[in-house]
Amino acid sequence: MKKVIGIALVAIVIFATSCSKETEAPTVKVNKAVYIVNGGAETIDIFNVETGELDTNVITTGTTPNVLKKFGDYLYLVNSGFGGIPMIQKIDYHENTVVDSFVLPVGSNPWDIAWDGSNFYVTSYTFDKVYKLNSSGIIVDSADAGVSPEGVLFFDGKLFVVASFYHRSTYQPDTGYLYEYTPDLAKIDSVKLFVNPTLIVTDSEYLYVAGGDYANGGNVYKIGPDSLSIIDSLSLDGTPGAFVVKNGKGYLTGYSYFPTVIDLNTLSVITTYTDAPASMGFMGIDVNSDASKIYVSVASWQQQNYLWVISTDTGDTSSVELGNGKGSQIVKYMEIEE
Amino acid sequence: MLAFLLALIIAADTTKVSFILSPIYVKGKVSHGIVEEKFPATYRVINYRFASPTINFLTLPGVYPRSYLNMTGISIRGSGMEEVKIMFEGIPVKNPQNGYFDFSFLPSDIVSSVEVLLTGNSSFYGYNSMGGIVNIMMPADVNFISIGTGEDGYFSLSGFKSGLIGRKFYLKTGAAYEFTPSQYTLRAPDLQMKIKNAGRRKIFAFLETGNSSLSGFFGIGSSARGIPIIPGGYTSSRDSIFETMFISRLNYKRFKILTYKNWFTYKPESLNSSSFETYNFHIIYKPFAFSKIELSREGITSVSLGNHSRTSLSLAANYSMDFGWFVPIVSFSGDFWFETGELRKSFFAGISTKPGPYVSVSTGYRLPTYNDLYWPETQYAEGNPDLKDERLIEYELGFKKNLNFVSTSISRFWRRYEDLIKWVPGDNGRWRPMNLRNVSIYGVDGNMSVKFKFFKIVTSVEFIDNVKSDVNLIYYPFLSWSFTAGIKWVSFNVEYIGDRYERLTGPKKLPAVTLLNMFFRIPFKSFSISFDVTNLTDKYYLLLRGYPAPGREWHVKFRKKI
Repeated sequence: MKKVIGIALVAIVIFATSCSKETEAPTVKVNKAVYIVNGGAETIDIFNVETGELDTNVITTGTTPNVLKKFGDYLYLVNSGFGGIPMIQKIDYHENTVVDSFVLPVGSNPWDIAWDGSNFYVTSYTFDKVYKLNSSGIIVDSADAGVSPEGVLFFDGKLFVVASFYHRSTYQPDTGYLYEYTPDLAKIDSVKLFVNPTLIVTDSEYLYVAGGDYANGGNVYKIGPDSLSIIDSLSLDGTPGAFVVKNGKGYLTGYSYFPTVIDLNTLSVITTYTDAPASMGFMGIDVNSDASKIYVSVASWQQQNYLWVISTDTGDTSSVELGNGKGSQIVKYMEIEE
Repeated sequence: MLAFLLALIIAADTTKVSFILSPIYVKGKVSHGIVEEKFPATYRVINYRFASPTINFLTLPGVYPRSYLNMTGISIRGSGMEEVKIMFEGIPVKNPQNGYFDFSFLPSDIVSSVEVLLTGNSSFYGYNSMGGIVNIMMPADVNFISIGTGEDGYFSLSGFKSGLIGRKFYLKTGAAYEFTPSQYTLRAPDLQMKIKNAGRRKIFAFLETGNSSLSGFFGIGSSARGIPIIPGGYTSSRDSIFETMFISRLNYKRFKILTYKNWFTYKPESLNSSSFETYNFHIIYKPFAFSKIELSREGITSVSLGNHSRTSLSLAANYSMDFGWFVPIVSFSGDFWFETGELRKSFFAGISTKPGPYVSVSTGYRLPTYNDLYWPETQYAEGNPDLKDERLIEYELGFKKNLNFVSTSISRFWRRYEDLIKWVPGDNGRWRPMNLRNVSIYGVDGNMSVKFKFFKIVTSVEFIDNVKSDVNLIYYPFLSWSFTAGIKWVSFNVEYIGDRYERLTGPKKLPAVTLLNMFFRIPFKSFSISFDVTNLTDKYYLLLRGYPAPGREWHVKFRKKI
């Protein structure tokens, strides 16, 4: 009898365990979406890559949204706050809601944001500074950062800030600098670049700084992060306003500069896509995880806006209408686990 | 303060019954046009109700204040403020550089009332009057001295005098000075922050003299103001903008010469300095009562925009017949512009009936401003010399009736704008003006006034029920209303400004706001004391993003007859 009871208990335990294992089986679903920040409407649209559905005005941004980046489990949207309150919005991309807002000094015109795992670093375009914020969004330190700093990147334990040296009092661009800081905002080094550098990215080995003065095209500089030595440079036909890297390639676009793919190793142009739904307005760019698709926002403050999708394998393109006058500026490809 | 006011009320001369409100009423006849005389359907006169120079003074349905960089302009029926024609005592005073006239330029004692024609109409009023017409009027009674004080050091001082010179010539003269310490205060409670911007000093003096066949009016004014501190934008709050205006009007029999000259210097701390001069000049000859020949010239002298001018010769005629119970009126005009060789035609046609109903259709147009045409090419912006004029056609159907103690009007309007000029990003990312938008606006506005012996109520409303455009109508309320009630020397006014889109696209709106204002005017035999509190409940609100409207403000003025 004891045997029978024992076997029965074991069977029950095994059955129960197997049941629980069944319910705990991994059911992770990955939603692939493109977040589009509309600078004109000051909203975020979400395009479901798999279903092709577009949800418009899902999130209301702050004033003058400028940069959207993902750190950890949240998206962080830098709102420059022209005519309003500058702030960084912390967005839960699972719920697509703003869960927190970090207010910055009025008039500081925050431009870009970086994250070192514990602190944020935000460039202030009008105050010529870089702010250090703790994880709660409180400013804990600041440092001078040349003139009109824009791009900021935390890489390999150091902070890099691109100072565009666009002189706001004369409306004239000048030769900009890349500054290197410790996490405590002590300036370590700097290097002189080209006219109006604005963007900085990394491929985990080198730094790449891009920008230009609009009238005379643009540049990409490849820079060694240790010595800030300029390793190579590339002249572009246009001035880029957005720059991402993936799998050894760089993807750039600018308002009147068609999306262009460059080889980061040789620093040369691979291809340029011109089969666009409009002749200008290429404000934001991003690529999916295997770089088979390029997503470009085509902005207009009056006419139709588009999300332009380029298949890198075939060169085929398609576009999604986003609405009139939305000023669709930023795109961010996301793979979200449910 | 309240006890003081009560004491003043008790001590006041109670034999006089004086209404201090009537922010809206309709005049039957004015001197500078015939629309008001023959077709007064949408013609209004708004008393300049406030002692302070706030932008609130025109928050009446159909007429909505706009503000930008410490300037105040007016929108009518959803128009942009550059589309409304502004005149001072019948003299066109809009700046052709940017299409604005800054109402805050004038000391408040200079202005007694504002005539408003809600209908866009270029056949009577010439170019740039597509959005409506506003005429600023000075006090008719010009024998007084006045001194005032108020919130944060507000100060005003003025004196007006009129009389005869000999037996034929009359003389009116006067001067006014006003200091307004702060017009915009940024209050962000979450930030525990309060920024006060620079104030404004302004002075205006005038002289008017003449007889029945020859008369002249000359006025000169000057203003110094700061650029308001707005988040992320301008950071200068010192006196940065200096502006001087000269206006004149000469009448000789059937001739009239109107002059407006403006000198503008811009010296902000953080931006480029600039200066320019602009002018408007008109010679008008009326060979017959129903016709007009007008030579107009306007221009600009500017280092950054260059030197430009444009000249037109206009012929206008109108005709009306009084059939007793209805009055039809038609008007046509043709403006020939010498520089472009183009002829611009405008017309107005309407029927006004004695029982009350009226109907009209009118057209108007606006020239691009010199900023639109010749903005210097910079990294971010450039002008567009190829711009076309903006055009408007407006239909109106309404009802108007004045009885003994009740007057009422209601109007249904349809406006269609074509080739609206908007600045948008163009080639190379530079912003430039383009003829882009076609917009239709439908709405209703009306007002009612009830007046008994000691009591008066005035209420008015505007409701825009449809806007057909590919983008939002921004910063203009779809619903606004005003209610004013008064007994003897005190009146209260409640204004509602509905929510307004703040972006051309998307759902973002500035929230609706209800404002409460209070006015006292206590007349004595030889002097009067007025006291007003605007925004009594100290509501924080924005008329334009980044430009908070004034909070609660009070002003006291003492005026003595001389």
